[in-house]
Order: sequence, then structure tokens, then C-alpha cells
Amino acid sequence: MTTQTAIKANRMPAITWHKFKGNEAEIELPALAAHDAGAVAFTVPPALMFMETTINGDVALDAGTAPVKEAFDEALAAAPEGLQQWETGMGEAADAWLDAAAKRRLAVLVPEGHTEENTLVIRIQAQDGAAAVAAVDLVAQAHSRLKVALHVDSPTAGSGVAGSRVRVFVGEGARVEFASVQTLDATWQHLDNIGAYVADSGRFIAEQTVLGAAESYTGFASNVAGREADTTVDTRYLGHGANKIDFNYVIRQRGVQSTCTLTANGVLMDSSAKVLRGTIDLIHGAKGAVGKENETVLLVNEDVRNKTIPVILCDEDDVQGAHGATIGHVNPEQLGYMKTRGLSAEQVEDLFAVATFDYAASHAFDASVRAAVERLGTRVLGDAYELLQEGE
Amino acid sequence: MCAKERSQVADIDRSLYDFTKSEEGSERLDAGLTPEIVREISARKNEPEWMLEHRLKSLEIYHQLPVPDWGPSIEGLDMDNIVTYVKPPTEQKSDWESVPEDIKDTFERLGIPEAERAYLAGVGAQYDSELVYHNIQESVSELGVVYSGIEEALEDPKWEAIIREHFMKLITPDDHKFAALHGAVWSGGSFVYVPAGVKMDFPLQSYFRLNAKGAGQFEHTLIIVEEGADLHFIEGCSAPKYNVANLHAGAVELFVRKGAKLRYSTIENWSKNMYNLNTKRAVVEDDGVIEWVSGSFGSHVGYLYPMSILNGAHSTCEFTGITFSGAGQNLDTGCKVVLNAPYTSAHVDTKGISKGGGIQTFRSSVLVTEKAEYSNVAVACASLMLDDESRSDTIPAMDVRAEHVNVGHEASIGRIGDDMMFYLMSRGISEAEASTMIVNGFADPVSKELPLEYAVEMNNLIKLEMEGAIG
Repeated sequence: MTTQTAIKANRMPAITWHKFKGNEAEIELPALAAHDAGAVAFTVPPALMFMETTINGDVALDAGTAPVKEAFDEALAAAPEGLQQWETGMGEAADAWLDAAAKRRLAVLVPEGHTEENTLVIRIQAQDGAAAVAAVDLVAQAHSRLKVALHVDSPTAGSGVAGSRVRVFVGEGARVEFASVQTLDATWQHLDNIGAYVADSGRFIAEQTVLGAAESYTGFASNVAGREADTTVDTRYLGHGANKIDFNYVIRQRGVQSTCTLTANGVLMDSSAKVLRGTIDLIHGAKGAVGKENETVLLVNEDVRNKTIPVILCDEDDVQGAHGATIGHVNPEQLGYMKTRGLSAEQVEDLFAVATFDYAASHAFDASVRAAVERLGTRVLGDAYELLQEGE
Repeated sequence: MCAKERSQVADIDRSLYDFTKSEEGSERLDAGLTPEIVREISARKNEPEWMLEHRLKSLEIYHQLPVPDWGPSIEGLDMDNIVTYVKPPTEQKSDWESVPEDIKDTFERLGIPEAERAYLAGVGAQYDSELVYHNIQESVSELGVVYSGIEEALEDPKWEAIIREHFMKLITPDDHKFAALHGAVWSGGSFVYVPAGVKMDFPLQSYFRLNAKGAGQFEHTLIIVEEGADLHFIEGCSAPKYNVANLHAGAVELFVRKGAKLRYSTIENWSKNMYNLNTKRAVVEDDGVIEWVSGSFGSHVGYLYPMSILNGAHSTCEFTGITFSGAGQNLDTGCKVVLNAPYTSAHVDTKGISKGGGIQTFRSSVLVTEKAEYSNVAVACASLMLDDESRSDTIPAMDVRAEHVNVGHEASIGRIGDDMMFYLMSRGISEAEASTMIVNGFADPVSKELPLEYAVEMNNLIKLEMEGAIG
């Protein structure tokens, strides 16, 4: 059970003018019941060591009996001094709220050198009047491989909050691929909070797709601490109706020759609004580090509102930092070409939304995610979704 | 002054700017900020009642507004220790021979009288809190151009109403804490009026010199360029270095009417004990053009973001800037643009250099409102770090509320490429020279926008800053 509250989240590490109203998000959260057992489900590949609490709290995370917990503590201890407290993209207030709301928790250990062929799946289904939240801790030990898929969906009508708090430790030479898809209908709030630590030569690759919800808040922080460590994020989003999308990416590049690539592509329709804050922090000592950030936003309605704040903080000279952003309408040449193919301007605009859904559907990790994407696509675009999909 | 003469600056040291003159004969008000001090400033200027009310209201607002928490620290600035008004021992003159010797010598060393003779249509020179010299060429005056001290214009019934209509309307006292401070204690500055259709062949220049230790300078510049007119205005500033904080919180309000064009160029070289908390803003009507050329070299802490409000269809803004932040400096600079009409465009191109532990931040804001359909924005900023003690941050923000627009932004941060250094040094050029050459090349997009004489000055400032950068 949570109480009604307002929290500030997704605050940029280096803020700018308050009048711009982009430094952070203010989230109004209603009083919500705890979710029931069906709201959060984990599918953990058998070869992995894991520890899970049930809805009744049958196994406590702090029981200290599982090697997973010990491994996670060790991973935390391995982080340089001062980093024991994990930084997450949404910040402490949201982290605490999610932690309190999470009734299902999972901690997973990928043993050293193990390459997991199967995907670890996390499903979160929104429940009316409830906070459906999963808390997940992942430790990929040295030279291991893991793929994770997270789906946040709303198969039934209602309102409430659905989301997750995920912490990922990527050990030396390890690789974690994390793909998330959010397909909530327009009555829900979505909170997605990630904190990662990447050791020497480790790679953390995240693909985040945000397609729905009345309000969607994504916070992502990665401590790219190791030598030649990497974090790569590819974000896709679609704003429609009157929904609000809010992202905060914070990449701390501490490692020598570490790399980071942030890419975001989005389409804003109707009267949707989006804020994307992306901070690449090149910390003193990260010699040879390279950080890149790029966002492309397609605006397809005069009522949309887009805020983009791509920030580079640089305390080291021997680095390369770059960011770019392109915000605009459909290219006139593209528009002209489409019109010669018999499409109206409205259909052309819908086509870009369809393309976002199609991309998500084609990259869905299983049939249920694909079905959820198509369900949302039909709800958002109506008949146009199927018509344009078929190329009619 | 010709470029050749100006280039001699390269052969001398920082004493070009860093020299002090006696304050004998100057009148200083008490340090601090009280209603009594504000009333005293107003009384000395024999202002209309509305201006005193404006000052007192601004003071109230100043006390209500918070210190900015998003920029460089200004903890070292204690307003209780700042003298807000220092009157130099002279009234405003219109010929240099009448200016007291010490003050005249100051401006001669800075090259102002020579510049006036060589290529300027008019000059204003402010020393501490008051203008000491103001003059405009007769031929320009005959065109109806007004270039005078703003307080002088305020005493003229013809201009008082116009000043009242425009004064602190673009930069309102509640805009931020130091705009309010300016509204309370402003003193000096220029008023420029260019009538419709008048295209000025030569620039006007105002130069601001702060000589008094522990003082503030709060000049107000108000420029109105009427329909179809064209003006280039140049602003320069400097001060000697003291071991206590000095403050500059000026305000520049620019009104660019239909089809008019205004270029506003600044070479800022305040001393490195200066807190430069300056505010500049322009509003542009249909088909109007505002061009900013901004070089920031001095100050201990700087907050400077010239703002362009494009209110007219097809109006444009160009901002070209360079900031050089050396040891002990934290310069937070950039610009703001509001596109508030259809078919407007903005082009921003900035360069930042940091060395010797200096901190340089590019900060910008672009707002494309619902009214600005079919508008274009391009923002580019590049930062160069010359050592691993320095810091360079880039904090741009874009808010787009229209559909048929194109907004592009690109930024890069890095150091001088080893390949470039290797190439130059393999040609027999020393490391220091090669480094300076590369930095000058980096700054070239800015210097080429300046009149030749100022471009030379800017390059020399870079050279001075680069001394000791290697090894």
C-alpha cells in the first residue's frame, strides 16, 4: 500500500535555468494498493542462480542465505569508494518509492564465464488501483553473457502505476543486453528506474521502447567505471494523445578509454509532450574516453511539445564528447514523395507512428509483446494502423 | 587606428588593461545596498520621480529573489562590501582635451580616442559610475542619429517619454536577482536612436572602464533602431585587477524595428577579480536582424547569455561567440533565443576554450513557440580543452512547440589533436606557437565577424592568455 505523494525525479546532474522548467520532473502519485501475485512474473533461465521473494515475502532478500545476495554485495563492494550507493536515473526519491512498492523482487547471478543462451524475462502487468512494481538486481560476473527482456503492459482497463527498479552490475569483460518495452494504455503511469555499474571491458547495452502510458518516466544511470567499459543506449518512443514522456539519462564515464553512445529516436503526435535529458559526464581521469549522444525527434502535430537537453560535462582533456539533436517535421521531399504515392499528409504522419509500432513489434522478444504492441497500435491509430501496415 | 598599430598590443603585456589610477577626487557612496543609497544615487542624477520609484521597487525585488543555484558560485561576492556608485572627478565632456588627465590617459592607453578618429561614428566612455566622454560625428548627428548618455537623454523632454516606454521593459527587474540589482542602482550608459532608413557606415562604440576598487558598474544601454535602419554598435570593457571583488551588472536593451539590422559586438576583458553578471536582450520585429558577436576573456565569474526575441515574421538572429577561460576563471556563457513568429531563423555558433584550471560552460536556451511555424534553428558549439586541469561543460536546452520547424544542435568537446601539433612542429614551429596558432584558428569564425582592429585585439588577447599554456 502506498500513500498519495508527490516526488521530484529525473533531475539533471547539472541543472540550468529554472524558467526552462526542464531540470526535473514532478510526479504526482496516487494512493495505491499493493499488487497481487499475477502482476509481476519472472522467467529465469535454469542455469542461473537466483533468489526471488514472493508476494507473501516467503524469501526475504536480506535473509543472507543465498549466494546471489552475497555476490551482489561483493559486486557493490568492488565498486570504487564513494560509489557504494548506487546512482539511478530517477534519483533517490523515486528509488525509495519504487523500492517500497515492489512486492516481487528478484536477484540473479550469472556465474563467471557463463554465457546464458536463454533470455531472462520480466513481465509487469498493470493492475487497477495498484502499484505493480518489480525490483530486480542483476550481477553478471566476469566474462559472462546475459540477455534480459522487460515488458510493462496493461492487458486490462484501469489506472495505477506500473514500473520497475533495476540494478545491474556488469563484471569485467561481461556483457548484458537489456531490452524493455512499455505498452501501457493511456490511463496508467509508468516509472522505470535503472542503475548500472560497468567494470573493465564490460558492456551494458540497453534498448528502451516507450509506446504508451499517460505519463512515462524513465531514469537511467550508468557508472561506466572500468577501463574500456561501455554503455550503449538506444531509445525509441512514441508520444500520442496527451501523454507525457520524461527521460533522464546520466552516464558517468570514469574508465580510461570507456565509451558511451546514447541514441534516441521519437515521434510526437497529437498533443503529447516529451522531455529528454541526456548527460554524459566525462570524469577526470577517464583518459581516452569517448561519449556520444544523438536524438532525432519527429514532430507531427502543432500541439506537441518537445524538450531536449543534451548535456556534456567534461573534466578531462583527453576525451571526445559530442552530441547532436535534430527536431523537426517530416522532410518536405519525403512528404512530397509519399503524396505522389497516394498518401494524404495525415496518413504520412500516421505512417511514422506505425513505423514506431512496427519496429517495436518486429523487435519484440516474444509473441505476447508483439501482440501488446499491436493492441496499443490499433488503439492509438484505429483503422489506420492496419491499413498502413498493409500498405494500402 | 589601423590594424598595424593595433597589432603592437601583441608586444606588450597585460598592463595594457591592468593599470590603476588614483581615486583622488572621486566620490564614493557607502558600500552596501540600502534604500538610502538608492535614493542618494537617484537624487544625484536629478531623475524624474518615476525612475526613483522604479529603483526602489527594483530593490525590493532584489531582496526577494534568490541567488541563482544553477551557475558558477558567487559566494565571493558580498554586496555589503560593494560600492554601487563612484563618481569620477569630472562631468561628461565632448572633447578629450577637457577630460581630466588621469582619465584621458586611461582611455588613450586603451586606444579609444585613436579609434574614434580612425573609424568610429561616435564614442561614449564611462569611468566607474558615470560617463566622462560622449561624442558623435556631426555628419551622423545630422542624419537624426542620437547617441548620448542615457541620463542626458532622460533630461530631454523629447526623449524622456521614449526612454520611459522602453527602459527595463525587455529586462524587467523581476527577471533575475541581478536584473533587479541593476534596476535599483543603475548609473551611466548610452542611449542610441537611429531613425528609419538611416544606415550607418561606421560603428558607434561605448567603452566601460571600472577603476575603483571594490566597486560595481551598472551602466544601462538602450538602443532603438527604427524601420529599415542599420547600426553596428561596439562595446568594450576592462578594469585593473584588485584583490577584492568588483561587480559588473549592466543591462543592454535593444529594439530592432521592421527591416532594421543591428550588430552588437562585445570584447569583454574585465579583470580577474570581477563578477560579470550582465544581462543583454534584443527584440526584433518583422524582417529585422540582430547579430551578436561576443568575445568573453576576462572576469573571475561570468554569467552572460544575450537573448534574442524574434517577434516579427522573417526576423533573424545570429550569435557568434567565443569564451576563453583561464586560471581562476569560471565563465558561464551562451545565449537564449525565442522564436515567436513564423519564418524566423536563428544561427548560433560558439567556441569555448579552457586552460590552466579555468572552467568554461556553454549554456543556451532555444524556445520555438506555437507562433513560430516554418522556422529554423541551428546551434553549434565547440569546446577546446588545453590541459587536464581545466573543465568544459555544455548545457544546451531546446523547447519546441511548433510543428513545421527544423531545430538542429551539435556540440563537441576535445583537445588539440596530436596530429595537428605534430604537423606544425614538424615544420619548425615551437609547441607554444603551434598551440596558439591552432587556438587562433579555432577562434577564427568569431574574429572574422569583428572589425579588423578588434579581431586583431581579440587574437592578441588569445595570445596573452596562451602565454604559459605550454610546458
